[in-house]
Amino acid sequence: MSNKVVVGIVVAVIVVLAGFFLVYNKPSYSPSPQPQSSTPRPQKSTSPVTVQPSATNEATKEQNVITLTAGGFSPSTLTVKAGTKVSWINKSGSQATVNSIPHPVHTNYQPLNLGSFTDGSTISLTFDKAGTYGYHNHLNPGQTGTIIVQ
Amino acid sequence: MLIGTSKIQMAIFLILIAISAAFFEKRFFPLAMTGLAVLTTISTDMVLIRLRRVEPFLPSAAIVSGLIIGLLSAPTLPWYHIVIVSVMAMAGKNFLRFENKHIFNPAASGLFITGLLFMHSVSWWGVSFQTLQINPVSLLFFLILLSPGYVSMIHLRRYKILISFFMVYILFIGVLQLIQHSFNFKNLLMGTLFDPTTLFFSLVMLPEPMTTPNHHLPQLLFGAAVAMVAIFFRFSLIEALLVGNLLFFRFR
Repeated sequence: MSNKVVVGIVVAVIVVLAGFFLVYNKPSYSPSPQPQSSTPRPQKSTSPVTVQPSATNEATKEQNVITLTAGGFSPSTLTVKAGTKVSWINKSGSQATVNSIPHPVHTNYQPLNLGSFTDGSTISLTFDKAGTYGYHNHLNPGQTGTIIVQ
Repeated sequence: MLIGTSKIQMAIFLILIAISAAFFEKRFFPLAMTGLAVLTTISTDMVLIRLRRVEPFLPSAAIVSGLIIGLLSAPTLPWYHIVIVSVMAMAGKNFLRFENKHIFNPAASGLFITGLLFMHSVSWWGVSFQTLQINPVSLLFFLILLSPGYVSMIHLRRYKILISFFMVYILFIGVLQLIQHSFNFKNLLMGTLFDPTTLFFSLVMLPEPMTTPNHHLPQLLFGAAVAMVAIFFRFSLIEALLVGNLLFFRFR
């Protein structure tokens, strides 16, 4: 076996072992940072959402909820007004993420890098500025969606 | 022997990745679409070679391009989208040339053009699930994902491109996280160096030998340039690669 192959195998083993070391102490993996900029402020909840009925905007709250199932985000395109909070509920049966396009750099809109959320949990983000915001599930990049803020 | 050639070895590793992805997805329809992509790239390449009056040769590059297209295109796309991507890739390979040398990565150009035409993004379905986790199956999938590195890094010696790409990529993603007050070293590495999509891109597409510089300094600059274009211009990795191909095609 040539020296190059041996070096390559050693490097690969070191990389994998380093990866194990990094993964070992943390049960969950968030592929993108949780931005903490003041505007807009992302809101993340790891517990299932309990919708509190409101006399005036119950229907509106339900309209601003996106459900992730095994088939993808539904609705795939959501139009809201500036200042609206949008929530994503994970009902896919596995861990998922909400990250800004494009995959995998996620650079288009940093606050939309909400990271991972487990099955049954909810994450949210308030959109303050008008625009079109594409997002996807980093763990299954074919699952995409768009928020249109007017 | 054919199996000793870099392209055939790369094709074998890509087939392994496709099979592992099909097992993970628990459905084999994506393999059929991948097969369709490969058949289309092979047949298109052979037709275009004949049209260009070039002596026929084994279309090993077309096989690799077809496999990449199959792994990156959403299996839910209509079959003719896969065909068009593959045809576009081979058209670019055969006609977008300078001094008889390729300019653009064929698979990347086909995916980009078809994405513009049909307004769909690259799915990366076959190379996004191999997140490194502590269990034998995940480790196996991850190692299969790394296997093309034997061809690109060791056989073809394109490691300088990968090193410069990751150094710049990790550095500037980290800077962005610091600016956003969200820096986390582990998340940074998991989202870059150990991200399966980024690994596949850097091991398979980025160092493609027919569209990347051959000398040391241009290789380093090429890798760095692709990373910077992706981050600062908010391009996808595919788009950044095409920009890098355009900037550096004279350095071969």
